[in-house]
Amino acid sequence: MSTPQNSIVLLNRLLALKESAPFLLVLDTLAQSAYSLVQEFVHKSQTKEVVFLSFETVNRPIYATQFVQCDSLSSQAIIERVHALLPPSAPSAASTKSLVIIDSLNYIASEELSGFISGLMTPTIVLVGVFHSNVPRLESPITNYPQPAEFLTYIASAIFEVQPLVTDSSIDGETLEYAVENLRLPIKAGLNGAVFKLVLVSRRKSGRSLTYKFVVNTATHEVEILQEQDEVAANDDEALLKDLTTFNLTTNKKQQLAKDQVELPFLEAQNFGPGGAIVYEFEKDDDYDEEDPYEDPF
Amino acid sequence: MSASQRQDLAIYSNGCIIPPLNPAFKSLNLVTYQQGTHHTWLTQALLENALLDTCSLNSDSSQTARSLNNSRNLEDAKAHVVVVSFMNDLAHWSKNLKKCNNLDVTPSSPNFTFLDCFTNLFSKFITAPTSAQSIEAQVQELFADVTQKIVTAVRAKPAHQRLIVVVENLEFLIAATCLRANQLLCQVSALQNIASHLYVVTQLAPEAIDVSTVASSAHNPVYKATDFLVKMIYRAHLVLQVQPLATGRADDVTGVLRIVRGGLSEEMRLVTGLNVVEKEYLYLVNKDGNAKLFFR
Amino acid sequence: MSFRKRSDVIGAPGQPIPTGGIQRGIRGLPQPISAQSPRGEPMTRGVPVSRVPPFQRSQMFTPTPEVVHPGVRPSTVTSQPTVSTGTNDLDKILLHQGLPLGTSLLLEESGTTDFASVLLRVYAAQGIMHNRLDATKAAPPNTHVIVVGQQSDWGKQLPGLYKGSRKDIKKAKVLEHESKLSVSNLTDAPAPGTGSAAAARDLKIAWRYGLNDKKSSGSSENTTYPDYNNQFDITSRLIPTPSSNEISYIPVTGTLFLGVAEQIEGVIRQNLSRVPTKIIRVVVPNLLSPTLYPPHFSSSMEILPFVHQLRALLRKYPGNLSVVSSLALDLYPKHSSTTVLLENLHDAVIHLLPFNQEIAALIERTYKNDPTKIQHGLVNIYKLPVLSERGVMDIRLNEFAFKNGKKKFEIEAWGIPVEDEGEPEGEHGHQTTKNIDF
Repeated sequence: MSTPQNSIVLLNRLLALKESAPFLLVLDTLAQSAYSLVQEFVHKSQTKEVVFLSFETVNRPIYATQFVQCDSLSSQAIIERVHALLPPSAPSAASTKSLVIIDSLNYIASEELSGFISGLMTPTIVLVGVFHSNVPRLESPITNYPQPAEFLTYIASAIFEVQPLVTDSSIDGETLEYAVENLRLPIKAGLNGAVFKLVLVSRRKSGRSLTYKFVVNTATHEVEILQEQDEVAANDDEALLKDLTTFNLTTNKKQQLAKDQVELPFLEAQNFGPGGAIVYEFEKDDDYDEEDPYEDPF
Repeated sequence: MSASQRQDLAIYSNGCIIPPLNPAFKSLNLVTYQQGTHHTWLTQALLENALLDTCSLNSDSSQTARSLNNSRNLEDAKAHVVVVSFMNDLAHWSKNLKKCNNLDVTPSSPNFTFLDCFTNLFSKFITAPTSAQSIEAQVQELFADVTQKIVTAVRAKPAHQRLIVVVENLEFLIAATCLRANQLLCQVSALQNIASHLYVVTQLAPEAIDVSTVASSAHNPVYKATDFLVKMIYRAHLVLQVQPLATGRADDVTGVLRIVRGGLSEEMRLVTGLNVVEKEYLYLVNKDGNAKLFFR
Repeated sequence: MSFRKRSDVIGAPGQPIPTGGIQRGIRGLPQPISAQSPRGEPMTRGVPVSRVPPFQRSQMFTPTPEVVHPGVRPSTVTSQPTVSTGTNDLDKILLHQGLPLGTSLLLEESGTTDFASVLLRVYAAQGIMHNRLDATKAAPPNTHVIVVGQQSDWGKQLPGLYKGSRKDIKKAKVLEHESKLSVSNLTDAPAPGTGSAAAARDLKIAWRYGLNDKKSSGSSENTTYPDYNNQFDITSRLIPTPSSNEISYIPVTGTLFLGVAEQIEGVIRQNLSRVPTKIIRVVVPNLLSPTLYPPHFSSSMEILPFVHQLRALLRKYPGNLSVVSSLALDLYPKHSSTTVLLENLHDAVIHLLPFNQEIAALIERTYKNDPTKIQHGLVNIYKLPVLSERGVMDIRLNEFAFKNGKKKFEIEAWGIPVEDEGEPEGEHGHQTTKNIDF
């Protein structure tokens, strides 16, 4: 079990491109854009070579050493451009790899996606690709062929799902989903901000994947573990009980565990099985009258 | 509604409506409207602000405007404004702009260019709306023509002057032809590249969009329209939404104006320091098309 | 005996006492100006020019006669030239007292009824009536009607003018008879008094009848625009049927819908080249109906460019053109993207929603003693010309209802009818007595 500290270390290593993870997928929504997280990649990795493949960005980022307008190029042409800019045969002695950012993978046809990703990959680059989740999907012309979102999450070494950190407590998940469906994003709720939630799915070499949740602040470049809702609630209760009297009313974790393990009496009776609530077991001291036609059968 | 105070239109953290010029930053702004709440009053306010730095929506400037009887001189306009319309002609815009501080726009006005992509759209430019082979080429040619005209019009523009481009209803091309969203978005990027600030005005019909759809055909009109709108919101720095009240028609309120951060609003904040201040106004438009803003 | 113009100022300095004949300057017809009575000049000089709106100005300015179209009036909201749809109540809810020139109206209808057809036929008939106002046919025709997707039988079914209620028609017939008798009476020559008395009586009746006629032909308040609109009787037919120089039929065939738009423009140009002030009414009944239009025209890539072209034509000829179309919502649902865009392209959208069985039954029960009050459906407004595109929110649902009467199509305020309780007659009464008696 990795400790919370380990997970933060892992995230920072991924952001710094230090983990051996060739393809990193960022999933964003209309409520929270991937833009800020991509900035964080650039900031943490301090990499010297950044190739920006633009399908929807018009303003060339300052950090981009190369900026390629891809919207009118074919997938093959893009791959050739990238290889020309970052020759794959360069010595991999450099400690940090080159970063290739794709601002949106939604513009590539689903049948071409696999060829595109594998064509771009070389040992010296780390590919960070953004995929917008709310773009309407199209059935593949080939039956059964997987949707781009499914395919990308399958091949990615790590998946960064950004979600909004909603500052308005009246907006719950359902309200937000409904608002996004109608393209009416809530305002003054912290959407599309520099501080957001991140759900990281990291794939180990064995194939096993682990999920971690963070709150990322790209303004201060700080990362912390996301405190889940019920944990927060429990903490509140404890705080209340502590200062009530001079008696110790709190329960620490060991005591809580012991409490949970106590077998409560009549628990079996509370579980209503099929048939009646009463369970009768015939034992050696009971006697059964076989000649009485009205005796209870069991 | 009790005596609600009239409000001024302010979009950015520095109180301005249209951002100043920044050579390293070209903004994309999406303006959406619905049936019943048309955008004209807002778009004309944006145009007025771009040209004259005033805003007739605001309480103080409307008084000074009415004291001027003669039409405003556009020689010293604060920006060069280009309006490209797929739904209206110049007569429509010059009539409506007259209400804004007496703006007088004609084909020969300095600092104002109107590109009519409406009158001859299907008689001259797009003669084969159903043909997938020809449509991309025809649209390409149409926009190349538009770009050429813009470049020519601003040839003499001083470097410090902003170029504001407003495109009205280009989403109609997707609906009326076999053009796909990606192909049209190419053209949006190209326009954004030559302008300082690009405003794309498009209709948003909630019944005709479906974000969670899995379309069986790439030509499905709901899929195409949603595809375009969603991708636009992702790449916009600012989204202005004009929509009816949830409760329907009211005599003292026409609708709601929402100022929303777009998907790339963080980019704007990091590069220019300007932040979109999200808010919701109520507005009232009278029969002459003059509008007033209030808070809830 | 001296004759003066009604609008003349009596006793104004410098105005000589007239000796000439009757001069009519109000309608812009040329006056016989004699050398001795230079009446024409002071008249025109005396008229203050600057504040008169162009319309009325042209009526008074006789030297340069602007042809004033009898079917056009300024809008009550925006003052732009407006034509009548032929249905007075529809004109009213459009707020402009008609449909402004250079704009289009889309009539949507739910269900399998076709009330919209009535409105479209009346719209066309109104145009034809304007053409026929000038009985002498001295002036060139002032209106042309273009019908898209139909053939000449459609024109044969246009409604005729409403001739007044049954009473008025009977009176007219009696009058006709009596006038014949009085002539023969005169020749028999009894007391001349009776003849003249009869004549005076006839004159009275005729005068009253004439007034009634004017009242029943709508436009009661419009004495300034007496020929703006008429009342039509949908059970009668317009006779004679419109000729080919009054109406054109454009077929909807061919591979491209745009080709139809080109043809329409051709007819418009042809008509306007001869008479530049002509009003052209374009009628598009049952747009995209499968019985009239080829199937591929329903594709959004065909219908939308076509309607876009119509919009462009309207803006190209803003002083001459007017378009009214109808659409069956059962075939093209209101929230489909094509309908949404058709609504966007038209300047005005009105939705006729006939009542369903339950409400229709309720209404019939409530008004069973007064069938003239029975309404047939709702009229929902979604878009109004010019105003909606300025930003005004005009959507009004469940506020109006329509009645399709033989005399006219009425639109009035809608309220859910309340059934009167305790009506002692009818089956209800019998039923209760039955129950009580067991």
